[in-house]
Amino acid sequence: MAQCKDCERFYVLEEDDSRGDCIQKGKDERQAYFYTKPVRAEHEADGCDSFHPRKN
Amino acid sequence: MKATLITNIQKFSVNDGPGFRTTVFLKGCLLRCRWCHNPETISSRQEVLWKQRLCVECGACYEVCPEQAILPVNSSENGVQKHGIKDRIDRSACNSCLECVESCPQNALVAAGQPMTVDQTLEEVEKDKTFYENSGGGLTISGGEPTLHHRFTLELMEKARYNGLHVCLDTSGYCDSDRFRRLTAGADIVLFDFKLMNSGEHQRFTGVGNEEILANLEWLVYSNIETWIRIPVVPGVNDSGDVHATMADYLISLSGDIDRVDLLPFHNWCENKYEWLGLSWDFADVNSIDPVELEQFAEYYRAKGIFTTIGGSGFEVN
Amino acid sequence: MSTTAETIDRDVEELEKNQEWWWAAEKKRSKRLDYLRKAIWKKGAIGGLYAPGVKADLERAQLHTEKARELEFSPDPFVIKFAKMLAHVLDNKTVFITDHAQLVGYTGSLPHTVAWDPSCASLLNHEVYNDPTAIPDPVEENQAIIEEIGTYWAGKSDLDKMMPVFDPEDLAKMLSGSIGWGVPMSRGGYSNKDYEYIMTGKRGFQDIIDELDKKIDELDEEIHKPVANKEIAEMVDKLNHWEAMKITLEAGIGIARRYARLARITAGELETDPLRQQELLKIAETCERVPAHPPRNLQESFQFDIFIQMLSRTEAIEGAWPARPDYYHGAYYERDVNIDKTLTPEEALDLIGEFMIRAAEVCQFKPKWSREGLQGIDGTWVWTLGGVDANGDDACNDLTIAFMKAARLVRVANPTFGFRWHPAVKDEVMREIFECLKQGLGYPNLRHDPILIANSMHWHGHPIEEARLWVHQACMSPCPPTKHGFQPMRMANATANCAKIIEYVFTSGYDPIVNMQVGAETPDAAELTDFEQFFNAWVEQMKAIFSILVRAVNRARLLAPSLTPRPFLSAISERCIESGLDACDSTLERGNAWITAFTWVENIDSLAAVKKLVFDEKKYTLGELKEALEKNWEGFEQMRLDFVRKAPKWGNDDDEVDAIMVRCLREAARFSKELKCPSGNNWPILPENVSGNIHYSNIVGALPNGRRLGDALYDGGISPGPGLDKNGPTAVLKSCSKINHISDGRAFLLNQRLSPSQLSGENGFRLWKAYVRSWADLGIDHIQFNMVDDKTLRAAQKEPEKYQEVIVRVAGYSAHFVDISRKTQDNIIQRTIQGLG
Repeated sequence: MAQCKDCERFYVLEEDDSRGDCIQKGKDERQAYFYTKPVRAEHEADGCDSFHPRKN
Repeated sequence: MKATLITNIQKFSVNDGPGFRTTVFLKGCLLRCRWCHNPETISSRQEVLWKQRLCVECGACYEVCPEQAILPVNSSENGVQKHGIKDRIDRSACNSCLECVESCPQNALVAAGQPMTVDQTLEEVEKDKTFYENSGGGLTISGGEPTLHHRFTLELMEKARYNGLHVCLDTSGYCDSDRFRRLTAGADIVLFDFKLMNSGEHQRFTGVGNEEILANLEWLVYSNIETWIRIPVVPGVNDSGDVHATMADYLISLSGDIDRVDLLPFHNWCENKYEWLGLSWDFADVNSIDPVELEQFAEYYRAKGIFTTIGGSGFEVN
Repeated sequence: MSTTAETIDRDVEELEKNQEWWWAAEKKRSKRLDYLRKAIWKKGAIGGLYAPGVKADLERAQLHTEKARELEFSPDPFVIKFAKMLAHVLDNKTVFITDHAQLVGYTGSLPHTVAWDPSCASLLNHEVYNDPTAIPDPVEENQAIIEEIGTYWAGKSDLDKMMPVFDPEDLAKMLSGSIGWGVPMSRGGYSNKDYEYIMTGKRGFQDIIDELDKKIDELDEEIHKPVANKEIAEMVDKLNHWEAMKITLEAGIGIARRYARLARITAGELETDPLRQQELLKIAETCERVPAHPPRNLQESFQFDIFIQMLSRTEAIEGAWPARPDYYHGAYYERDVNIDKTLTPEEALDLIGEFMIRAAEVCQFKPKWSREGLQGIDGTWVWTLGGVDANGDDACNDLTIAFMKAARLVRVANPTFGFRWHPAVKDEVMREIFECLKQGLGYPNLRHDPILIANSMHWHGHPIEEARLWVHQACMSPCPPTKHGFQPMRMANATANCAKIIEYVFTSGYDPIVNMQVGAETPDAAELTDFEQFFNAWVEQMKAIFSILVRAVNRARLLAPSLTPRPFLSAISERCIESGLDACDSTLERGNAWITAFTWVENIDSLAAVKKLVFDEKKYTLGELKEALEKNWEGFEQMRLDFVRKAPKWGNDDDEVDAIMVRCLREAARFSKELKCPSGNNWPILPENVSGNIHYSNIVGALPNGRRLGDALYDGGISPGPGLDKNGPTAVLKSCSKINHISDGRAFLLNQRLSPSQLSGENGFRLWKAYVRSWADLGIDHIQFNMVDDKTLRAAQKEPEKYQEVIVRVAGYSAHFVDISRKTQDNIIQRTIQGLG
């Protein structure tokens, strides 16, 4: 089962490795932007369209 | 005190002398300038304006007219056709009783000219004092020809100045010289209409020659009364360089200074007024002159060192 | 100068000559501003619907609800629970940084979303559920989520909690929509701020937290003293409020740090352009500094401001944007641009323009009646520029000028500016204002500073040093942004549909459109025998309507601190830090209430018509008039035309009609001193509109000014009815000058149209300045200039009745546009487009 911490878009919080940010680039009809959403490291990522396994 | 017919007391006039002004238009003029923009000021009598746009053909006016000078509703002619203009009123039969004006629920019939006394006129003019004070503005007496109603005009000017108002007199200069001198002596600035140098041409287009006019102008300048020359530039009348070259030379030759020249471009926005009066207009199909086109004529005056504007704004600064 | 720059200059000149301001601005502004301007998702609703692609934001609603569920059985007092809900939202919501942006902060999760607070009103949640266009995909799934959220909040929303508080009869009358506007609650309305506390560079959130900690420790010690005292309840209450304030401040610092983190990570790992990396690091530095600490430069100052607004708008639905941006940010501009020169004026313009853009894109999901009344914008954000400082000295600075330059570059419809004019304003500032007006922005509007300062002191007793600091609390009413002066929540609900006053005189208070008794039971109009009796009935109706609205708002205000507290607003307000009371508590507020009077002038024209045609000329009886109105003038067209055309109208410098206006206002002013707000202060009226004239056109019936049910109502404020001012703009000002703008009411909105040809060139500037000086001499408190453009003239061609007063000018000749032949009209329109008309 994939988890958010396995994704290359996941950036872990230094002070608490159970949490991090999911950071992506977005684009709509009018603008491009970077956006972030806090997630738990072990949040299930199987259903996530944006999941990109981290290359280690 | 006798009342005189006033066609309009126009507030917020910004092209009739310096600053914000109220322009009083007196009814009646001896000239018949073919391009006249205010035809409702030509006749000294009260007249009726019929505004076709507002008329709903209810027939109320027809009912009340004592002279049967109004065509009934649904008449086969649907309006008297004169020179291609539709008119509801038989002008030759109309006695200006104004019953029809009273009766019209749509305000489609309007009287041109209201009788007002000097005091009534001045009271109306003084309402905008604050605007005059903040802009160097005041009262402008115009028309029609204000010198035609010389007693009214003289008294209005005197009372206005007594009350601290700045006064401009807007005149064609076609006036007996003694009377002219008396009237202009009471003005802070004279706005002097100037059309053509050539008297024959002048007669052709305005109905009168210009000898008297030029004589009055010469006296004005000689007497050091502040004078602004207003030149309406009209297609086919005086819209050539030669005309203005000659006029500029003439103005420079006068024994005194001309304070400024204002070139006023012809426009046809007043077409509706002729229709309201049931009159045809020689210039109905003539296009307005773009103010920009007057730059070339303005050059003639400026080259002679005369401060010249296009449009005569009251906020020009030399 | 490069060829490209020359080409651009030439193009710009050409475009400006042709009055194509939008295209000229597009070429003139920097690439960054151009991108950011075009990046805006327009959030204003048209016909009540949001634009395609704009979606309701479910994320906030979900976060807020999940925390509410978690805390449902928590023993914490409500204010702390609410603060925790807000913190949960701020800690967990999506945040974004737009490409090329230098400033961040938005209430929604993504740029195209509209923030939805589900805890405000159940009826709002129903509207989200039923919205035909704004539910994000997948629609069915999301509708289910919305339904679940709506179900949770049913019975628990602020409005649900407020409802029992109102007098049922008053409530029914207000909800009927006949006399009022919306519903009163403190989490929806216009909130001013204590800018003197939070925006003068003296403190950031951390400083306030430190102070709160101190106060909490001290009070905690007090509470634990051996002698139990009766003030303990109050003390505990203070502690709770301070705790809640702290929670919101910490959350504010937290979310800023989240932006900083996003910026650092993208700079380090995702962004490849080195210049942009630097900008992102600057954003990170900025968000690490503010709001925790006070700003040190212009970027930080703007960012601090945006965070405050964002947090405030997360806490409540704010329908206005009181601000004095040149005053509070001016010192930073001065330092950065003029002294340290760390910013060029162009770089500063980029920041200022972006600051306006951040405001332009703000949106909170509002109920439909509000969206309809605010066609095309999310709220009326009138920023206050100019004016004087506490000492009365001119407060205009270089930033005042820069804001106006920026406004011409970004050309947003909101925010707009209200300029506080006073006699010492310099020419260079007047020129900027003039240029904005000439370029068709429609703002700044002008406010007469000396008059309004005196007005504030008269009506609400603000001391002069505070009155001098005033900002527009919404679109018109001044309010000081000071410790005791600022009004935390002015409810839109104190808005009266005044046309009903005269309507009810004829129906003895019965509303024929909503079919219920709303107004006072005055005697049968047909029985009144003279104008004085008639006027007295009018006064009774006026009092009845105003009383209903004020009672409702007062009740809501009194309960606001406990039912709908605002811990964040309190956290940035000195009186709350000091006292531990909620910002909405009326005991520490001086009071700054007003009743917005929509559809006011209809009363004047109607009273004048009745006086002339019924009582002076005895042409009709009141009985006949009453019948005609009942029948909506059907079968009485000739009579109706008399009431339209043969009666004098306001705005023509006619002493008789104008005296009626003054008399009506003075009756209202007298009553204003009887009505009191919870702080014990007065309730003056303020004639103005928003789009109320359209909103109410099917709610107001036939009136004695000749109006039929469904006809559009007048423009509003003290502007004359459309086309009814026949004596030109100076006559309108003269009429308005007969009102005393200090003591006859709170403020009075006045719209005027100017033609572009009047304003062209140096002559135009001189003319306009002289006109403004005259306006000032006449003691009028407000004027908004709209340019007659080709759109106005085309509208005049279609509906000449409404545009009778439009005057067009050509050198030396002026004519009423509607009188000119069609062909020439078309010509003039063409010339207007070309800037020649």
